Amino acid sequence: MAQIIEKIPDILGTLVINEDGAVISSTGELQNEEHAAKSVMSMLQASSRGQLTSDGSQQFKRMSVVFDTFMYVVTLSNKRVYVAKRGYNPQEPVLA
Amino acid sequence: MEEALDKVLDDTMNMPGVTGVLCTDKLGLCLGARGNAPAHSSGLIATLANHAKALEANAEAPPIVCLESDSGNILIRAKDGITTAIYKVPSGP
Repeated sequence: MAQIIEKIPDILGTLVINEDGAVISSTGELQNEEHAAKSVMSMLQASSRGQLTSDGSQQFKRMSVVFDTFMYVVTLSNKRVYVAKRGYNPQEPVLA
Repeated sequence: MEEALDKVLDDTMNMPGVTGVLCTDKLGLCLGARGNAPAHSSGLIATLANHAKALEANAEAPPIVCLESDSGNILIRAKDGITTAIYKVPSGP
C-alpha cells in the first residue's frame, strides 16, 4: 500500500500512521509533519463516533480535505491510516 | 435573519442529490437542519471544520471536508463563522 500511494499522480507527500496515532513513515511535504498527523487522527476519531448520520450506521471509506491548489486524501487499510497530499487543479467547466 | 437562513436551507435541500443540510456556528450550536442531517451532529461538524483548517494554517481559503461512504457523502465547509454540512447521495464509482 505504501508503495502504491507513492505512485499517485501529482503526489506532494505521504504519511502512514498506526492506530495509536504514531507516524510510521512520512515522505515529501509531509515529512516529519506530526502536526498534520495529529489533525488527521482527530478528524478520524470525530467522524467515527457514528453521530454524523441519523441512524449512526455510516462507515466512511475515504475522507478528503480540499484546499485551493492541493488536497489531503485519507483512507484506512490494515489498521493503518494512509494520508496522501496531492496537487489539485480543478478543470474549468466547459460553457456551451 | 432566521427567515433568510431557512430559505437558504430549503433552497439547498431542493438541489439535485442533496438529502440533508445543516448549519452550525463555530462553537457547534446548530442554527438549522433539514432532511437526514441530525441536529445533534452540529458539534462534530464544527470540530471537523476546525481540525481541517488547522491542517494548513497559512491557507487563504477554508478547506472543504468530504466524507465518503457507500450510503452517501457529507461535504463540510466553514466560512464567515458559519459551518455548513451538505449530505448527498453517493457519487458514482
